[in-house]
Amino acid sequence: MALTIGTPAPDFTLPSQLGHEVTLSSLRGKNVVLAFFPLAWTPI
Amino acid sequence: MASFAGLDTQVLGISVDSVPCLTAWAKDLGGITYPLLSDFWPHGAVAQRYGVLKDEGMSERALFVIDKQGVIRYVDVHDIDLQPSNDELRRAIREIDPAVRDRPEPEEPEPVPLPHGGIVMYCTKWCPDCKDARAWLAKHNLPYTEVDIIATPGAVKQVEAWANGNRTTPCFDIDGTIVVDFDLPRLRQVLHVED
Repeated sequence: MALTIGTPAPDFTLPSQLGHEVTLSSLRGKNVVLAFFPLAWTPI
Repeated sequence: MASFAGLDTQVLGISVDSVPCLTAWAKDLGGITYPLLSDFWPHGAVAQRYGVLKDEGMSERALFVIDKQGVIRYVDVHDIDLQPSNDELRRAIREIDPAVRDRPEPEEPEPVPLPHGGIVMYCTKWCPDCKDARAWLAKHNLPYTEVDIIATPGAVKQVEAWANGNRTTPCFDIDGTIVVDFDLPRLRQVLHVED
């Protein structure tokens, strides 16, 4: 089951294609659209 | 997935692919300015924590909107054809965040007239059917104009209007006759070719 509305978003740090890591909690103060997609070369 | 200007919003794409794979994909897509995160190792760990890792080892297609305090405020897990539009997401963000609620929508880019006449193929750079369609057109020496629906303003809306709201590629506008998908029997009929 996907996490539900009202749940604190679990923090993570992951590498990206832009060459730097992204930590979710460092984006506090911004809204974040986190878009999971199954695999590359599928529509986003 | 691009336009959240003025809404204090960062977009993050995420999949279980490796960084080199995401790099290659971003290059193919062109114009991706937001991070595509690699949830590759430990494999799918973040997807698992968000409850969207499937048994096959990849994630669901899912959208979470996280507010400025780090709380999940919008969740959508969907089939590919039922993805919420960017308009719907922008509305959701305005509802969640009072600070941006009344900000004006950014101005739409000036629409460029879409090409007409002859064979116009609406496609993406990478969709497999689009590749097959290019090969088939080349085999028959049929000249065509290509519209990249990701790079061309208004092209996605046009395709969705033809394909019952779906983002089907390729779609063809052949002197005003519309063929949705790489529908070979129909293309043969419209273009009067044998095979």
